[in-house]
Amino acid sequence: MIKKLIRRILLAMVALIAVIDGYLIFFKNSKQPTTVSAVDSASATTNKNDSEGAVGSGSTASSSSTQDTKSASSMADGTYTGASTQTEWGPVQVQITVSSGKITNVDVLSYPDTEKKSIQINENALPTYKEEALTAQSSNIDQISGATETYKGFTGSLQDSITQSEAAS
Amino acid sequence: MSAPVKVSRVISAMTIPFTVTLVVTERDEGNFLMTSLLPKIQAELNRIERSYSAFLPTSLVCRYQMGEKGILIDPEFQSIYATVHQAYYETDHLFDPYYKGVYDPTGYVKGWAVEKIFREILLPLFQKQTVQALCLNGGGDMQLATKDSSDFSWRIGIEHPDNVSQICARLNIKTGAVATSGYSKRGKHIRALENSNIKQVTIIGQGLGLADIYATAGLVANQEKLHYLIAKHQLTGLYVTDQGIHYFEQGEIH
Repeated sequence: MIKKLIRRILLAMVALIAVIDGYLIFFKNSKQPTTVSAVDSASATTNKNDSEGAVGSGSTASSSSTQDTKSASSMADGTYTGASTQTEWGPVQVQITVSSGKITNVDVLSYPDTEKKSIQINENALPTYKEEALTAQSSNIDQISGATETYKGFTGSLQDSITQSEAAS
Repeated sequence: MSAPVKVSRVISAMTIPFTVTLVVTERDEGNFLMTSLLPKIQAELNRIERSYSAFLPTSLVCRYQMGEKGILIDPEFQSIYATVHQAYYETDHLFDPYYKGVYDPTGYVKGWAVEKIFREILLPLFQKQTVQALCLNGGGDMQLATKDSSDFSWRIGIEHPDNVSQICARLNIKTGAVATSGYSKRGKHIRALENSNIKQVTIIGQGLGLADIYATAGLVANQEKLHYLIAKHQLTGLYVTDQGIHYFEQGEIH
C-alpha cells in the first residue's frame, strides 16, 4: 500500500516536472512574441511520437505561436523543442517548426562548448607510435587502417591474408 | 593458459568488408564465440544499412530526403541527425552533411555503426576469461580494446597513400579507435579544398564515430585549417603530405 502511494506521488512529481520543463524550454527559446502555451507532447505531435517514446526520453515539447490546433493526426502549427538528444559532443536539442500541419524547418539548438573538453584518452589507451618505413605485408601487423575505397579492394585482401596467415600459424 | 591466438572472420555489409578479430587464450573458444557473434553483428549492420543507406529508397534517410520530416521523431535518427549537424559547426563546416545538396549522414554512419556494435556486441565478451582483446575493423576504420590485465597490444599499419601495398606508419594501441581518410581512390563522402596537399589523415581517439568525423574533416581541410582543427579538438594521429608524415598528439603537432 505504501509503495503504491509513493509510486503515485512520484508519478505526480514527474508529471509536474514535465510541465515545468516544458515552460522552461519555452522561455529559453521564446523569441516569438505570441500566445504562450505549453502543449502536451502526445497531443501536439503525431501518434508515432507517442508510440515510439520519442524526442528524447521523457519528451516534453513546448509550443509557441500556436494559432489553430488541428486534429491529433496532424501537428499544430508552432515551434517544438524536443528534450535533449545525445551527440558525440554531448546533448543538444532539436527544434521543429510546423506550419500548415507540416514540418517546414528543423534546427539543432544549443551547441555545447567543446573548447575546454579535450578527448580524454586514459593512460593505457594512449597510443605509442614510432615512425617506421615499412614495406609490404611482412611488417608484423594485426590490422590495416586506410581509405575505405582502397580497403574494398587491395587493402581488404591484404588484411585478409594477414588474418589468414595468423589463423594458420 | 596457452599463449594468446587471434581468431578472425570477415562479414560483408554496406558493400564493405568488416573484419572481426578476437584475441583468445584458447582457439576453440574463439571459434565457438564467433559462431554466435557473427549473426548478431551481421543483423545489426543490415538493420543500420536498411535505415541509413543513402542509396536505398526505402531507408529513413531517403524518405527524409523526400520530405518525410516526421522521421526525425525516431530517437536514433534524431541523435545521428543532431550529431552530423553539430559536426558541421565543430569542424568549421569541413564536415558537411549537405555536401550533396540533401541530408546525407553517410560520412558518420559507418564509424558510428562500428563503435555501436563494438560496445554492444563485442565488449561484453570481456566477461569471458579466455578473451584478451577485441577488434572490429570496418573498411579500414576500427574500434579495438584490450583487457587491462593483458600484455597484448594491437599493431596497426597505416596504409601508404601513394602505394597501397605499403605501410607508412605502425601504431601500437591497446584500446581506442583508428580512422583513416584518404584520397587514394577518393571516398564518396569527401570533397577537397583546391589548395590542399593533404593526402591522408588518420585520427586516433576513444570512439570511432568521432574519430571518423575528424578524419573526414581533416582530409577536406588545407594544412592551416587542419592544424586549427587539431588544436581545437586536441586531436591525436598523423597526416601525410608530399613532404612526408606529420604526427600530432593531444593537439600538438610534432
